[in-house]
Amino acid sequence: MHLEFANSLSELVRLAHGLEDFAKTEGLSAEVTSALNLALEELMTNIHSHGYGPGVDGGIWLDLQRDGEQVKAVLRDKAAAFNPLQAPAPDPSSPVETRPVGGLGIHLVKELMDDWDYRREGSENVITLRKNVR
Amino acid sequence: MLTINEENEDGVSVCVLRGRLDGNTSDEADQYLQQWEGKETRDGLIFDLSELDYLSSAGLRIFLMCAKRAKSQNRKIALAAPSDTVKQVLTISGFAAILEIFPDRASAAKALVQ
Repeated sequence: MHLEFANSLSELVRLAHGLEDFAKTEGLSAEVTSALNLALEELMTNIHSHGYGPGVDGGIWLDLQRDGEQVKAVLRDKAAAFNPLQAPAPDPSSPVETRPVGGLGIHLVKELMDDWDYRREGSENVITLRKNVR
Repeated sequence: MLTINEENEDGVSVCVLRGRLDGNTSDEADQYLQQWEGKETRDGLIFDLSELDYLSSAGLRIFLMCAKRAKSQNRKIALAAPSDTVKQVLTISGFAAILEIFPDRASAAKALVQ
């Protein structure tokens, strides 16, 4: 399945719908579907806020495919080169008063996915995620 | 799509969140909650998550900011009845350790009025 998005948070609704269709076709569990949705939302939100920047025109392309016992998701954008997967993990033991409000998304991606990879291909950031279907 | 309703459980205010709390709906939820905090005089707030289908880190941020404000105002907040998938997000993000989570509204209300 191939999906194309504009650089806007309202596209998260289309992401969710696209994933629901894909999950139905592939017979994915609610848990796997929700994990994929979360990880892809985090990365798309990152591209929106830190890649292109809010209000800037830009495309985001998503390819979803079943690869044996895994789902493979490839997300591409043409913003400046940036590897979001390098962000440091937040300290999970810090108390509520001092807990930073940001920085959680990438931690969630790594917790929820079984494999992840970033590479720069020409003018594109390419992130590949893999999730075991059971 | 997110809808928020105010209810009451044993004298404790309850916010029922239905649908999806994500990057697309979190601003709206934040505005709603800040308004609620401005007019509410009681000390406790329960978030009823039993009909929340989906929670992303944008939604976690809302709970975290709400918890920070509550702490500074000597108020208490509790989360009640998250689904398994929502609970998983709360756990792996470490939020289960910093927010009070209860299996249902009644036990949350009981803990807040103590």
